[in-house]
Amino acid sequence: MNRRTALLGAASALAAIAALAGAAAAQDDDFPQKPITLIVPSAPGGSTDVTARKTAELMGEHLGVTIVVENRPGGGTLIGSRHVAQSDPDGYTLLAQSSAVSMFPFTFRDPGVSLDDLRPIGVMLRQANVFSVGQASEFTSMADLIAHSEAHPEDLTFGTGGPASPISYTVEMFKHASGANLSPVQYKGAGDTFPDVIAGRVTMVSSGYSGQSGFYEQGQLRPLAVSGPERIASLPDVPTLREVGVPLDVSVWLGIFAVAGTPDPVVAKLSGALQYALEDEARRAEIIEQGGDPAFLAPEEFEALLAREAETFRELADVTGIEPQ
Amino acid sequence: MDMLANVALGLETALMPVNLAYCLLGVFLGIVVGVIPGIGALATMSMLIPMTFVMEPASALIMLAGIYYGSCFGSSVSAILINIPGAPHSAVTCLDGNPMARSGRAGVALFMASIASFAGGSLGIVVLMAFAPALGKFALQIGPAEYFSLVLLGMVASSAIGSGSMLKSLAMAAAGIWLGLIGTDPNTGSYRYTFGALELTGGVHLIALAMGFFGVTEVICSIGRLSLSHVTPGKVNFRSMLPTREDLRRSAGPILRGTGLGAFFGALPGTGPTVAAYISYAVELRVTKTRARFGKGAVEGVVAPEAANNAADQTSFIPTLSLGIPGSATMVLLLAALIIQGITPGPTLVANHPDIFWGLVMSFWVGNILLVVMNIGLIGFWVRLLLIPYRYLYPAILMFVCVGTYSIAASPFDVWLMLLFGVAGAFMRLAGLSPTSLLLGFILGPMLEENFRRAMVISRGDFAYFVEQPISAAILAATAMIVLFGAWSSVRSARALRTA
Repeated sequence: MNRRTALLGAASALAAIAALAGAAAAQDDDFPQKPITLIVPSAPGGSTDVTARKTAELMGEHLGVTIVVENRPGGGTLIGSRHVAQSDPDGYTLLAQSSAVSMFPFTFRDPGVSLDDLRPIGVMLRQANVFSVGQASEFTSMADLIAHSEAHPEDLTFGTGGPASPISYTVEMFKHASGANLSPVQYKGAGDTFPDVIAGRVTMVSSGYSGQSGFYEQGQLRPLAVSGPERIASLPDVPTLREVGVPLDVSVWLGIFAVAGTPDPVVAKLSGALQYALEDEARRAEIIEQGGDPAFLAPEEFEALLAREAETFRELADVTGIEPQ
Repeated sequence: MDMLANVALGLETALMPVNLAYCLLGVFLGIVVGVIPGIGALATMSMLIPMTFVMEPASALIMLAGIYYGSCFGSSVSAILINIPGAPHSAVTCLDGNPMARSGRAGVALFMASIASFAGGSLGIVVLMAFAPALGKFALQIGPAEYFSLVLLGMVASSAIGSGSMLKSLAMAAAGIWLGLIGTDPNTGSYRYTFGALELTGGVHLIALAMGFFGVTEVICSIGRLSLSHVTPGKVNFRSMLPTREDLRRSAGPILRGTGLGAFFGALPGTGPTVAAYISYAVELRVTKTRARFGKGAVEGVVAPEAANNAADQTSFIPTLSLGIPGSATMVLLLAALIIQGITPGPTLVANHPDIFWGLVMSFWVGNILLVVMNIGLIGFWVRLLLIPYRYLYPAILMFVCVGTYSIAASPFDVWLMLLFGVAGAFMRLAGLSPTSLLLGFILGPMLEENFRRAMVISRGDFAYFVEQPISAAILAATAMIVLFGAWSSVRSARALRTA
């Protein structure tokens, strides 16, 4: 082979690469061309599942393709999350996740998937946590509860949906920030705690507004504080934790992730679809009615939120000495 | 009167042509997936949830609920005919249902199971209509201490279930409890017996366990008798399905007792149809005067659990709808369908959406009537299924069982686990060990542990908590009486043997 043909070969190889790149770019422009799969790493019927299905419907409408919601539960959301992390970074496999994903490094010894494997698209829903007690409870304010706990540190309990659940972390953060002491009583999910909290066997529960709201009207649950940065429209009389002197604001979010390395144009399109879903009037009204915040977050804003949260969890893990499994 | 107005409102919703159609669709699908082992209400409902997006809330609920209680109706068919329960709650129905089929009384067994299911379901609806709010409030009184005592009672009462020696039953119950421990420690979150498999951290799934030990085991154990067929392919006419006067006389009591127990356990979130079926069978074993007939085709052993699981299916809507607290994974799905429709479940649902609640309840009547008509009409067809040669029937069953297990979590791991259970079950059967006690231990063991540990945290480690709660104390006293009575009667019979 002489020099000339070698050069030619190199040139044609370069041309081929350029053509491929062009084709890839064109493909990104054409995204999406086939149905998208949104993996829900928990069982059907849970809050992630319900939110994902509603959002996927609207996003699909905007993108002109079907978004298929697929449940892959198990391993404390690890199985579904790993599945997405190992998929092609083409935007056709997405993950619906909660702050559980930020906690992986602290809850699992060998999670096999982390935020670095995922590319944040945005949040489907942000929701304040509501701290509530049962109808017969002696506590009518968060200050009462904290004061009681200081006098009788062994007395109070809180219901949680499992030792490594986001709820459990929220209450641990609350304990750390308020100085109150409550022992965790473990259930299989936040909803299972309600009978014992309502009947007064367990002191307090902290969970998303939408799960609790059905119990407010007849007074089975009494909300004492919300954990968000400001009061929520549906509970105008309930103060935030900051207002009652507990320096903490955490909100629960449910977000959508693509695989790390997904091209920017694809991310932009998915983010646009998410914005469309959040700006849908009916959906927006529904989110607000359920005590949620429908504000749209651009991928970069979501990324910043995740970074702040990771920092909080790292501090908490240091303070509480939570051991990964 | 209030109730009449509610019934009228409910009928108005339930009898709308579109809702009638969805009810029919629901119960028909339910009966089909109930009969097919492995594929159950849970998988079917989760597949159909997206379809309910575009439906009216009442129609969506009527259809999904129809699948749920319809599958309970259907699952006894495969238990009776091929000794494989269509769903875990019919596992006890195998004990006497299959021997009846083997002695040529398949038609009668199916007929009586349908009647018992209908009676249990109907009386369950009556309880639901009359006492939903009261029972909902009562369920709130049942806390960890009461659940612990109740589960203990269930374990003690059911220890007699299963043919063969008591020691073997206990060993199997212990094995079941061990299998139930696999997963994540409920308090500390540390892994137990997961052997590094991430798929096991959420525990072994009930469907994988039941379909392995009952379904695959049955298939493996039938390999040796491939050429045999267990019924004589004779006439299957209406007359051969009709129970004798004796059958009816024996069934009345068990149906009523089964219904009562089923209605009670269904109304408690967390227990439900499987536990109800076991306990009602155990109760029949204790009240009967002809215990030797059980396990050999006693009609009481078919009708009691079938009445119980269908009654429990209906009353399990009580905590779900009147409190917004789902007692099982299927009920979670039903609530999800409501949430997707923008309806907040909770104690105010009945007051805020009476048309949905009463419409659903009245659709249960429609559904149960459709079910009993369909099921009795289909008996001839079901019995003829037995004429299908094993070489076609069993591979098909294996396939359905695998598909059903795979559909739990879209994971091949569960399928391998189920097949492993099937092989283990075949060896167990050779050793005369029954999977019935194993399944009960698997279901009750984790409930016992979780509630015990919750009670311990709430009481700050004080064991007296269990007897300080009045309901719990009463249940524990009943449990102690069963143990003492059991000990006394065995001493007495031993003495009688010696003097004889």
